[in-house]
Amino acid sequence: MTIFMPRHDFHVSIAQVDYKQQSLQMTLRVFTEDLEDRLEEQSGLDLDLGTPTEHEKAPELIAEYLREVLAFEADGMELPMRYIGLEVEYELSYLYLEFPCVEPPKELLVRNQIFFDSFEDQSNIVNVKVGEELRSAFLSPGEGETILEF
Amino acid sequence: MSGFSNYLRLGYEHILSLDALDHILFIVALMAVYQTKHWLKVVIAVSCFTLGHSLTLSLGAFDMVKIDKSLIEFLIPLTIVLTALFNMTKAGQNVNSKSKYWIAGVFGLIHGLGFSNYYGMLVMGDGNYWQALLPFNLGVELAQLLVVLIMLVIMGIYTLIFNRKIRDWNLFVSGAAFGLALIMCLETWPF
Repeated sequence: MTIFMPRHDFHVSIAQVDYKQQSLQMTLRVFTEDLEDRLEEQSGLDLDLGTPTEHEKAPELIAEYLREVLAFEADGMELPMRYIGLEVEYELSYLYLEFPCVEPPKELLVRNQIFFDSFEDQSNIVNVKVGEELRSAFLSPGEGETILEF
Repeated sequence: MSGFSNYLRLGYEHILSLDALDHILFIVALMAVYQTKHWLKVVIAVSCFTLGHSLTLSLGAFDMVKIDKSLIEFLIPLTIVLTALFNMTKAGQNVNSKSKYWIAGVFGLIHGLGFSNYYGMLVMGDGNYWQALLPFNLGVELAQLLVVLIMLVIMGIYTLIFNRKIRDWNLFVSGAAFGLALIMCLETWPF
């Protein structure tokens, strides 16, 4: 009998993005379990993220997946993505990324579709700070990208 | 949209998903003995519930409360079982007593522990603690008040239009909540 008890799953990711030193610097917070399950399912590997036995291919797989689901377009130009690394703190994982962008964006298209292919109720919040201005995007399978104006 | 409304939406949508069925079931059991005209008492009781679980889930984010997860998963449906049983007692059916507020608040603490791992997600640790938690909790409260509103309408239809007694309603609702929650308890039995 496993029909009734709700699983208390919280399918959420939250990203903090700061425009600094001519780039959008992103910390993306995800649940470690969600990330590991998604990547292991695709690759068939045992990844052990954030442990001493982490698979050597893990960074490559993470970067590849992030390139699939994440993107920024600043004033119509798609920004290149640089994956910096991963920090695992128990249930939470912090993914660090950088998107070089010479001028501070005025109109920023934000796409974050991470785990949309895992959960139909996934919600991704992306908070972006340019100068003193803070904007926030709420992305879900119904709306996978949105435009923020600064 | 601003960050505030996004976190509000997150809390609201979360309560209205099937993943939070036990949350809704508790509220339904909590308000089973009231009539539509007691709506203010129901709102107070549900707000006590929100206060209780906001408190522990906020503490969870601070890492102050670390309790065995499997125990919490068992205690949550147990609160529903106990609330439904209390509805069968004379004291539990006294709508003028404040006992329901206390039950809501104290049991809310337990429900909040089930949320505690969410809070690490909501708080990035750079001073935006309340920026995320406050609107999230408000969203939770709004969703719960929507559940209350829907239940009050159904109760109103039952008692006013079909002219049935709230006692029968209480038996039906508390019985259903008891049955479902008892199965949840057996499923999550940790001992």
